[in-house]
Amino acid sequence: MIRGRRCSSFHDFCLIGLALASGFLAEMSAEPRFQQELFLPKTGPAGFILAQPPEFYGTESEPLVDGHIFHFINGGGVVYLNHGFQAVVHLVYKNETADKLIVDIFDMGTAQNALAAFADQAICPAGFAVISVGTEAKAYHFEPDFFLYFIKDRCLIYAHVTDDGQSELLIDYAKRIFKEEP
Amino acid sequence: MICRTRRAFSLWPAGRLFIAAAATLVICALAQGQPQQRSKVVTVRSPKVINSRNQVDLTEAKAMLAAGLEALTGKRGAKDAWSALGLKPADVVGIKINCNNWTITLSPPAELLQALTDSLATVVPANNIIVYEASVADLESSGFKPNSSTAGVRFIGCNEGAGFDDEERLSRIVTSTCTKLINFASLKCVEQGRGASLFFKNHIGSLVEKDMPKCHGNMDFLASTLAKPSLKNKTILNICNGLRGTYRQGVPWYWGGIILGQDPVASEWAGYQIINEKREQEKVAALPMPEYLKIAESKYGLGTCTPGHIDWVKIER
Repeated sequence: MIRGRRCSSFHDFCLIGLALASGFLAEMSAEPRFQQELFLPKTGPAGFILAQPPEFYGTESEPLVDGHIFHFINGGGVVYLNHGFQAVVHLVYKNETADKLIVDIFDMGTAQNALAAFADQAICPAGFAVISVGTEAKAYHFEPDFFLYFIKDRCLIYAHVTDDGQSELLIDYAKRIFKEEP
Repeated sequence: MICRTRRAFSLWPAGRLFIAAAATLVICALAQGQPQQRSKVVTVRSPKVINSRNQVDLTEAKAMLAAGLEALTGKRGAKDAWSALGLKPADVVGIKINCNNWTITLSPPAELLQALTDSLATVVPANNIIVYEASVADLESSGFKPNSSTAGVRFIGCNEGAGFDDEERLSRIVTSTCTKLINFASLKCVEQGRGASLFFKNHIGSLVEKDMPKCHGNMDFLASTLAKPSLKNKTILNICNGLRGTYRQGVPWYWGGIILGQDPVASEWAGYQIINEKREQEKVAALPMPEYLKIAESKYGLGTCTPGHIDWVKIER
């Protein structure tokens, strides 16, 4: 039962991502069923465009089109698996000056799992600043990088800019992602 | 001459006793010294090599590498230093880099990689230098343009072209194409009982894909990776990019240094010391010395992680 639902939702997950890559997502009317189950931002951050097609990674036993989590973050993936990791979509945007804005949406299976991952210091280490993006986000400034983590439903979302001069833009984008209706 | 011989004969009983005692002492000393094969690790740091915007100074990177090679080999000048490490003009040198971009990018800075390839090019033609990673996409994500042409340093992925050796379960870049190897790791902490990701885990990207995940939980398997004949016999240098590293998963700092050594176990041990020194400063519990290093020393004889057997040369520029 669970497996069937998961496979179906992952198929949909990939379809949405591909649509996003081709820039037609905003125009298309997605099926309500997977809108309820999965989330992807409908638009990119202001001034940035997708630098590459979205990448999709699953688990070792159920990899997605780009493979499994170890292809994505090597051994760092173990801690996500410990919290019920199901899949991640990796979005890379670039602006005119080649600054990167990265959004990774980790589907942790349940909201409880997402919360546990958010609380795990191996994922969100100590030393963060708390900011609001509509929900509590943990923000990290390691010059020149700025990134934050927050939760939306059953997803743990990681958003990162490689130029901290874009940190306000990132926060605004995170607010938009959080507010976005599924 | 005759006289000395006669005297030796006349002292024979005492001489025999003396010789026996001396021999005993020598044997004891040798026996005690059996495992004391010393390994040298060199670290070179410079506050000028990288700034707080993660920008690297090529000239300083080159100077650091030159200083490190000289300290490691005792030879002045890149050509002689590489010769001392066993590099010959006809060699094809593979450099396994770690293109790690999640979350903080820890891929080798282009300037540091250039310092290394320029240095190697004093001995081998540039096209005999192959920078490789598990996949072409990994290289591209770190800003390295794939190049499999016959001009310039080559940048290739294990997932394209060469294929994999069935026996060693390694990329044929390692087993066939290259005659020498450089293990170019990054200073990366992954925690959660897995410690750091340095020289041993760097070669995960050289393995057949099915074996890669085994390295994340199977300590013996991870230790055995560098014991594969091609990796063990062809590697002439282990070098770690620590210009910017992480001391916790996803938490970076500018250490501003590189680690060099021929012994991967001792070099990895030094990496752990560097990370732990920072963790201590930040009041974070030290990473324990991982099981795979002990296995690599005791079972596979890849080097030593016994502090008393390591000569650590620290250069501050």
